[in-house]
Amino acid sequence: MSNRDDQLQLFPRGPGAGARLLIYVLISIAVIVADTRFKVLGGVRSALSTLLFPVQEAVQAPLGIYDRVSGFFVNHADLQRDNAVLRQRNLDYAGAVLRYHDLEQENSRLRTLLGAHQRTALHTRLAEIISVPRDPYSRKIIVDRGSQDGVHAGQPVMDEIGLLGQVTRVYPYTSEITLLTDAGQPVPVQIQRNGLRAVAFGQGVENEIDVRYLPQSADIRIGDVLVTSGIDGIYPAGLLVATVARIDHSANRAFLRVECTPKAAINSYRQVLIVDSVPAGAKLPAQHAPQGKPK
Amino acid sequence: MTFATPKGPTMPVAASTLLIVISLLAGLALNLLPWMGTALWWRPDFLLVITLYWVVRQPRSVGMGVAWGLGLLTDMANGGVLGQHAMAYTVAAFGTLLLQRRILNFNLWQQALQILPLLLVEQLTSIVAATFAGHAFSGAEYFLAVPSGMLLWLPVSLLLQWPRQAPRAADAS
Repeated sequence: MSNRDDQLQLFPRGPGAGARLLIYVLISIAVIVADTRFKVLGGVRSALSTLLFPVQEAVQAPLGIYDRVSGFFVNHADLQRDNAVLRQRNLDYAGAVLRYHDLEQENSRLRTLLGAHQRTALHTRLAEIISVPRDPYSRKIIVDRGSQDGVHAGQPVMDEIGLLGQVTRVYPYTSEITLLTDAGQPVPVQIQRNGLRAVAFGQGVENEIDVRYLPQSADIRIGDVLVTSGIDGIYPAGLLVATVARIDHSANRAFLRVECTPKAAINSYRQVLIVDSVPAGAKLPAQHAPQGKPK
Repeated sequence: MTFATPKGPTMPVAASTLLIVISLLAGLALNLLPWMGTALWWRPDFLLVITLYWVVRQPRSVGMGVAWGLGLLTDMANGGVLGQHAMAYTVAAFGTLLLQRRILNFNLWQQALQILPLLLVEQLTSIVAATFAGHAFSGAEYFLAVPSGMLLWLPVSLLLQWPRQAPRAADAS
């Protein structure tokens, strides 16, 4: 008890609590303004993120150990069943892949005949999610790859099903990914069925993105699949984005209201793929090399 | 027990500084776990509750300055506006300082009830700050962390009180 009494301040030193609060609030406002209006705190951010990184890594360690330990104690029967299923699937895919290679070659020949740009294969790198910020304003995730691993801002991010979002901030060891569902995050899309182009925007709501600026007469139906159109130069063409869930035809609006459900499992993944975007000029020589003689 | 008395008053203070740092780091680490979906919304702000606990218990060691710094780290971890949670944590710490002596007189459940409005104040301040920075608020689930934070007050108090029982008992004897 004597300990606690010591802490009662009989003779407070320095400015009073109210004055200190005012000072801290003013500093906070200055920081907020410097961050949002002038964007001058990039250095502070990356310094703080380097500070946070060991804590984030320490948190990941027990999860990794849990994964490894629970992976070790797997039932033998389960393993055998999984193995059989995977073998079967592998056989199924082998046939499909043969056909796919054939089609790809045919497609590239046809594209050469047409003089169209070649499609390049996607190079991706795996990253693990290390934290999900709890913030009603933003739909973001933090992954464990940063500028030290060659990640840079603007790279598209996907999971094994579809497009997730885009790298928006890069720190030395971590980077921040803004999801498609983040408010105002636009993605140029195309309806897979008929090639109609549009732009989808995140709403800041879970599991919903909206296609805006489509006229009332647009040919879009519930269940249509949206893929990236690739005309922005950021997202590669043909990645799955969303399916159309609801269409509102109210005549009191100039445009259709189209709600879509994102394809990627926005809430249930641990690993994501960061797509390496190849500069447009760099891929042409590599494409021509097999046809002519290498220089 | 007499052999422990020569170092008496300084030992608990030094030990609890270490304890404060460790507990705050643990709070930060718990916040940084990859929580998903509904669990993410129900997740209490571990760091804030532990900070407020120390503001109540040791206002000289942990005050508004520490709260501000921890808030800045939270902003960084959230990837949001820098300064938003810094301001909110400071305001919550200020409220706690005002109520500090009163809170100590209650039992744990009553203390938790006193903490509830402070957690609410923190969330409201951070929302106001973000709104002024130009974000539109969406999602009332955000406030789920207030009741869960209140419940967290109980285990946090019990857990952090426990290692300090022994030296105090030694002091009294």
